[in-house]
Amino acid sequence: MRFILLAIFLLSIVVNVAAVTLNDIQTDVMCTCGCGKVLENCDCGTAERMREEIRGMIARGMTKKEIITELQDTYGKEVLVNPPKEGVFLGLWYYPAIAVGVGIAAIYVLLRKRNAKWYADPDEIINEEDLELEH
Amino acid sequence: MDVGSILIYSALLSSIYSIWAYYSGISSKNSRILHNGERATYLTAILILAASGLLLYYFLSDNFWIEYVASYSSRNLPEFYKITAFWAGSDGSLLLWVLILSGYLVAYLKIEKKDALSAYTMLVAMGVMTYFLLQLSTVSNPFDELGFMPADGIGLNPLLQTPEMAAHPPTLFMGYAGSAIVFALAISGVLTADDKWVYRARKWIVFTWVWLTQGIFWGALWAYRVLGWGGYWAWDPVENSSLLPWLTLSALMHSIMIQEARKGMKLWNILLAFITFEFVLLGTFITRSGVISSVHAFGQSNLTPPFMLMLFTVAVTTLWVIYERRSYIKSQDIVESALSKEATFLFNNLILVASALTVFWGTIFPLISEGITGYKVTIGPPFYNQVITPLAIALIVLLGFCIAFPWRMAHGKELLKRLKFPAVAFAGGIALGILLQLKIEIIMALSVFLFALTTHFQQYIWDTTKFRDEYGSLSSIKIILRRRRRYGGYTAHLGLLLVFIGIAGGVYAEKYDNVLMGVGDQKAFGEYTLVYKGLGFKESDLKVTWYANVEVWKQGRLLGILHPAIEKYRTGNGEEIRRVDIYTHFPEDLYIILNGADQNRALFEVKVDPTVNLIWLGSWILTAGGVFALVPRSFVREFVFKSESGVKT
Repeated sequence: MRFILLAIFLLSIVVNVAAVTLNDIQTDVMCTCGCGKVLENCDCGTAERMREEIRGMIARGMTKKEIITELQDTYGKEVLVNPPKEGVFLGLWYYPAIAVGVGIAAIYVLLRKRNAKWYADPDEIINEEDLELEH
Repeated sequence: MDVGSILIYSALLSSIYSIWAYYSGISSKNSRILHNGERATYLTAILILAASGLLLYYFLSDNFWIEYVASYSSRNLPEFYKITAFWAGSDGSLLLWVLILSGYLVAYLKIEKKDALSAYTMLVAMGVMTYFLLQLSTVSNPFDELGFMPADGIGLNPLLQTPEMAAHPPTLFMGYAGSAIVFALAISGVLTADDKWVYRARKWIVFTWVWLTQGIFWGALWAYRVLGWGGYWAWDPVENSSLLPWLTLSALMHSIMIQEARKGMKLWNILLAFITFEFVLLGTFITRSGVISSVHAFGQSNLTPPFMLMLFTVAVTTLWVIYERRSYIKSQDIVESALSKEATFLFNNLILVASALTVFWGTIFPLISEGITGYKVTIGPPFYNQVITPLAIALIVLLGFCIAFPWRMAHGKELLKRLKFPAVAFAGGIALGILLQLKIEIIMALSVFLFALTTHFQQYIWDTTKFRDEYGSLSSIKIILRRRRRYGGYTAHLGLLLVFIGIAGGVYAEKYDNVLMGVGDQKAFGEYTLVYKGLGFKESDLKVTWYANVEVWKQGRLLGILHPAIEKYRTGNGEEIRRVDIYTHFPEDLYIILNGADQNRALFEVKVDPTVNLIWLGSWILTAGGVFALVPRSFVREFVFKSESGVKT
């Protein structure tokens, strides 16, 4: 059993290593020339140098995580296109879901109150004279 | 001191006087003083117009004594771009902002009734005007002098020498300045505790929305055709800041209908007008401050304190007004049934505002992270794609339901009848996608698109038939004009649907490759065959251009010759840019970028976006829908219904 688990573990490492491509990395990091573009969208000299660097790391058998860590060490933490889904950055990722959740709760409350009166058809309102509308 | 500066200072004084006059006129209920306020508003507009005309003259006459002109123009710049250089920098574009706002104020005075609501509106709007004039007079004066006359100017950034960039800032500022009027009307409506502000604001909201739509469209088109990376939207902070007010204004456009019909959502509508204007200020700030790094920003500046002050003042004023008039704001209930158009509008508002807040959150998060962790994280496209995609799909589904549901209440059987065909279209979309072996994301996008599209076409037909019964002898065109608000909305929705499917097609079905070709080489790319015929060269006073000649063939037929190019400018820092070339076979684009070349070979980046032109078409249809909804009653009455007496137009 231990042998099988070890084999699966080793296989997963091998698969992980084999799966890393330039595209996996260049979609997750920014070009550092100051253009503000994701590396995959930039074709400047800096971008090409970064790609070469990444290709070199892939050739050395580094995992995606190791490559990203090394790039962050070299270029600073802001080289990542998005912050990780951990620590203080979790707020970034969960905030939209919280906003929608609060909104749905508010709508639920509004939909329960059903004593609405009907004053005018909005389609018709633009055909009314201002005086009729405003007085 | 330059005459331009004197004009700006005079406009500032006149603007301050108008604030005093409106305030005094309102306090003392004195119409004579209010008239003085109006005169001061006109004078302010004239002075701003004169200052703008003068700056334009300086550009056309190469007056490099003025620092702004020397920074953004040069003698060899074509005349047309000397005009557009007016708004190429922070200071000039702020003057354009103010010029457009003054145009809005004059239009408001000419169009709207002179009453308490208008007096308050002008007071608030002139407050906004004074703030911007204060900036122009101090930290952003485009008439600052160099103190010497250089032989030539630095020149206009080559990326800005395009028709798209000539159109983008003015159209966007038309939207930005319009939002100031909408905000002023909302605040004034609450101050006067009168619902009529929503009737009056409708046309200003739609007008502003039309221009925001156009501004975003031209910006996206510029990014696509000029920036040369093959995309049109990169979720850059400056791009985001133009989208934010569009989202909240779209929500407001729908929610004011509930206030008209139900006298509800009063607080919500004020908050939407407020947040739209805050987003506009934020966008103006982000573009100018350099506080968040962006490829589109003007660069670093000292504008943070004044903009922070304005953002804070607007927020405090709004909250104070809401608190003061809390008894008026107390809304009535807004639904009779959960199965009604009103209920779908609530969800539509939720999705639009949640999208806006999410984009806002992603835009400012780098600053928050800097405060907490000490460094600015980057928020790139993957974040937005992950969180906005589900919201966009939900919005499109809702678009279908929203049209199918009637006002007030829907009955089960009626609803089933309305949703029968759209459900079939939805299922058909899935079946078609499976048959064509499309990606799951495309199948999902296609099926919700067909669902919403079918509800719209069905409703077009049903409504027109129903109204024909109601109006007897009226022709379909007259019925559509009579119900222009509804049909304008339907048309805008159709545009949005096309934009949606256009984006989905590009995101999930784009083909892309880097191609190295020798002279005479052929390369197959999708259904196209590209033949490289060699490099050409031409030069002018302004630039040197190397262009590739690439024949585009399909099924043995020559479709055309594309000339992607690299241009090196003689002015400024000798910038080098790539001019893409595009072969359009609607709705598809073959997009070629020349990345480098020597005498024998050239490196191209080639992309095929199968649906990108649906985005451009959809944007125009969106705009057309808004414009149609704005057709004035007087026009309809005079020219269309002249012969039909008794029909309200």
